[in-house]
Amino acid sequence: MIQGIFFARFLPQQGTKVVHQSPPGCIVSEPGVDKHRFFDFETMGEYIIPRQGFCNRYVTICDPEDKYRILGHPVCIKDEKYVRNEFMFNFCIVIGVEVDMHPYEAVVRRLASTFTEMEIQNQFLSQEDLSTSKDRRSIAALIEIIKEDLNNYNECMIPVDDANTINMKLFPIHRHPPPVKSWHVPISKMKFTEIMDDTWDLTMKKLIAQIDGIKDVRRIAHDADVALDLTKIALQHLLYHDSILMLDIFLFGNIYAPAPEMNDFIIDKDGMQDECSNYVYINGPRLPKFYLCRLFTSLCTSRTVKEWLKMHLDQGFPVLNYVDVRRFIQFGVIKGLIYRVHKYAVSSQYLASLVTRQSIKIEGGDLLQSYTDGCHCFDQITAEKNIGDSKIMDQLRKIPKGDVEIIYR
Amino acid sequence: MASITTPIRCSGLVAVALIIRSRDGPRFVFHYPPRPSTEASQEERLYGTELDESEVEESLLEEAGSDESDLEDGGYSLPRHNKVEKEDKPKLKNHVVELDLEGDDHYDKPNGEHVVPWEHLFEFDTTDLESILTPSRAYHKKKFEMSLDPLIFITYPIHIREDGLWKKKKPKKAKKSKTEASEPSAAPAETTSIEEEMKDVSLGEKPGNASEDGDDHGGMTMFNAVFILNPRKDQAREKIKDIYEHVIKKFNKALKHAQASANYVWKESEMMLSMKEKAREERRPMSWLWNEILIKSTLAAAIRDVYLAISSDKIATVRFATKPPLDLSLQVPIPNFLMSLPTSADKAMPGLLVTTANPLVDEEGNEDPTHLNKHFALLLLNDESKIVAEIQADDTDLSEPLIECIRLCKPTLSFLQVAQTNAVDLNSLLVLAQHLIYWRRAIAIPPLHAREMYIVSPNCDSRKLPLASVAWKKAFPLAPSLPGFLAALSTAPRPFKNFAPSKDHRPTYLDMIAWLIRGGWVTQLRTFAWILVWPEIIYEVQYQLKSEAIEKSRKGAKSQSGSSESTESTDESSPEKHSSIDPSAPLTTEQVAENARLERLADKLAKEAAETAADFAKMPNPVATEHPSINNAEHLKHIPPYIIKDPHKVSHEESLYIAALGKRFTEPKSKECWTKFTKYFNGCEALEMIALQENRKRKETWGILLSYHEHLLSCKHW
Repeated sequence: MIQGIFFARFLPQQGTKVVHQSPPGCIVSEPGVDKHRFFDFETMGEYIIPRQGFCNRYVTICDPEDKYRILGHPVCIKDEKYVRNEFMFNFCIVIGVEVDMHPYEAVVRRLASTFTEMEIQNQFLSQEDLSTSKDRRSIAALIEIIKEDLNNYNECMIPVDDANTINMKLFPIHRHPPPVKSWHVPISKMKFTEIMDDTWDLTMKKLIAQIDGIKDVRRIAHDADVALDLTKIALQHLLYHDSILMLDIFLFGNIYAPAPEMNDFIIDKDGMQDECSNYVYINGPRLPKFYLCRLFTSLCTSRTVKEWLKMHLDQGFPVLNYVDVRRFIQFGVIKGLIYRVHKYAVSSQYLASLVTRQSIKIEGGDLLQSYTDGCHCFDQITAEKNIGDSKIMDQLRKIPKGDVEIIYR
Repeated sequence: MASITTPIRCSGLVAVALIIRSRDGPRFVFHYPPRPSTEASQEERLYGTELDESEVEESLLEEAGSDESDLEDGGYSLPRHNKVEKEDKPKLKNHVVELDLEGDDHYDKPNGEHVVPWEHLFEFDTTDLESILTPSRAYHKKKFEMSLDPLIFITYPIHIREDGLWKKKKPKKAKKSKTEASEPSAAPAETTSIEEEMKDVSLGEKPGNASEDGDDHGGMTMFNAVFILNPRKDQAREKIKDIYEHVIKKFNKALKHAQASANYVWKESEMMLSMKEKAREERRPMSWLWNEILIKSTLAAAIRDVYLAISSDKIATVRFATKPPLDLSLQVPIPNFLMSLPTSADKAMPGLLVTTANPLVDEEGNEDPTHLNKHFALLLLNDESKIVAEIQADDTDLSEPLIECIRLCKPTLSFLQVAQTNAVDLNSLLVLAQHLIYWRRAIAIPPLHAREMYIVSPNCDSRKLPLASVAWKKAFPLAPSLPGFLAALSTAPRPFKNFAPSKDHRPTYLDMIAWLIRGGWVTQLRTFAWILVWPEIIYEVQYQLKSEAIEKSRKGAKSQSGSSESTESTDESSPEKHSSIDPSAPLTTEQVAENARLERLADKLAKEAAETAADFAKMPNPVATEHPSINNAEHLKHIPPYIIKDPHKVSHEESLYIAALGKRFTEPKSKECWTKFTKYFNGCEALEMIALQENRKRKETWGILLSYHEHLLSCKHW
């Protein structure tokens, strides 16, 4: 929320002056307004209109009490028509220090660029007092509207004169999304069919049609007939907007293990158990939620999903009759209750060659040698080499015995 | 220990500069490094627990990044920051190249202007910087944070007092140390040691001030060491807060102290400025001048050391050559373990130990950053001899006790055990241990034991495998190879003793596990449990409750009917009176209706009671079988098993379950411990710690826990 907005100029005789401000009296005292000022402007002046060397860039400063942050973009226009051959100004926004300042950066830059342009066009700022034309808005009114509109609607569209309009919108700045790997499995968090329309990117539409929570990125690219790198970029956009999640490839030979977050499920935080039963039980009789707890807690680092199912069957609990196991595992992974234990191959010879930086050729390792440094999980090999777990193991067996170890991590 | 040295985070610190305001106005005294990098800070590119960092992905990322910025602002706005950066980059690079080639030397511009290589920092002239970085008195001892996109300048300016002194004269120095000690600090021990020295310094101070002694202050009215950051935007806030609290504030305060006691900042600044002036006249190259300054000025060397250490997220140890010398250690504290794995959207922190065993909890299990739990053990992060040598070299008052603490503590013994066996004071042991942990020399872990299980950490940094394998071979020449050993540990979790070929090997194998935990390769697999109430128990409790209810209602009915009779006989209410006056008088219609209603009610109640009684009579008697979990009796089928979420906060019914369970155990020990142990079955406390917390034998504790096994839902994780 914008606490205040002001327009400051450097006046040859008077130095840095606040010409307009909103709300009144928030930066410098105004006659007839008895209001608490945010900070002492005398202290801050040198950062509002700094030396020339610091102009024409985005500048922010916090007040000494560390309560307010001033965002500005001081501009210096050089021209012989001005006194001292230069005109300096700054449109500043004041926000609380605890407020995320990033969305406002674009606003401040935009104000600087628009008014620079208008000053160059018709001396909109420097001739403010002289111009009596009625078809332009006063700067005081402008900054007031900008502040109000951005605070109330997060955007503003203000015609300034015949030629110029100020259009601005506050965008939330998200974190940069993680890279998309070809062995990831995207799953949608929203109903794309309901929000997609004709204006959407064609490639994106083709890809979205393939997202089903089962296919990995490589398969999606293949089935949608889109290049793999384009697929990754498109999916990264969806990740940026938090509309998909990335999972691992589900196979019954996978291993999943509980994480400390399991406690949240057992104590039924946020009604998680109900959510889970709605997601995982297949049509038919619903089991008490206790069974879900038992299923989750019985996963462990050394048990494949297959072995885990068999264990429950042996104990007289035919899991598959009641539970969609893929969805069950997905639920656990998405909620962070369980994590996938990946398989990595490590070849001692290959590690040694990495230390000495001498390239070697491991006997029988032609296909997979570069994957045996312990940093490439089997899912990656599967996706990149198009071979399954058992084939990978076959290939690794070609390497002399005792050299390759499999680490579960 | 190559496996733990590389920093897991990037500080974003790109330069440190010292600026003062003297009689001649603001002066830019010194900065380090001489030519700071203009590149934005590089950050770990991994996310979650992934390890793959292929080049392809990186180029993709950049492309996607530039795409994104269009997307973010809808493509309408002025070139946004990252675009600007991109556009600027070639320019900047040229600039740097130009400076690198000839930037070391002076040259004259066509207009005759003398260009001095050290009078530019980043894109700015130092004359501009010195004016903007000498904030007014309003910022005295306050945070000054200014950004000149993309750089952020943070400092803690120190002004001279209005009475012309740098420090208030204090009649009682005890008061002073008290106020200073009250500043927030996570390292109580270290702070006191610094304060100790500071106190010493102020002791040596002559009454009055240096200036009165004829020392020249050069009219210096303020100074500040400015830290310049170029962090990633999404992390800026956090980085600024950390570095300000832990480094900037403390460093400037220490400078103030040195200035107050020995006129240190001015003397050093004066020397540096005159060296610069001389070099300017002699047109010396910048590299030559910087070497000279760093040799001559301990303050310049201190700035360099702080920059080098903090920018690579290490501990900075600096010494100001005042008399007596002032030692200072600074760091941005780093977490030494993770409770939960970073998600796929979080930045990766590979190599950091994952465990829920938080040593900073009090006896009640509440988190308390100042309280080191006495049931944990100390694990040194480096070779003992190396750490001891380092501490000896530091040579402070604390050195000796710290070395003693290191000598006594073993990763296999809890602090309590160490204190008891060596007859030392537990609290001082904990304070010393905490000092070692804060200064990154050790971590606290649950004591290592051959019977515990250890698994390969899902957060281990396999990228370090090649080098770690070599280090491992050196440390344990006769042990299996590192990949082989990790593979064995990861295949199936078993008690660790099973991996040692014989009992004699166990101490070595415990050393091996200590080595692996230290490097974040493995973590302990711990067991957590909740109380599981089987239908048989639930039924038993319900049956009991019902029978009590029936008993009560029966009694209640009796007593009520009895009392109503008695009231009837004694009640002198008007209808009674009326009837007593005229017993033969016929009842009024209302009376008849009322009586009928009461009768009906009584009938109904009786009927209901009879029904419940009958229902109850039909209920089969609860039978306590040996294994309630497999009791398939018909009457239990509709009752789902029940889990008690938190034994600290139980309902009435849950407490009855716990009591009913307690009666089931036949072993006297199990019976006795049940009420004591139930508090640990909350899914948060590892069963492995019970033996220590209850001060019992491990084996015996596990025997008892085993007897509860059927009534616990357990789960294993780190």
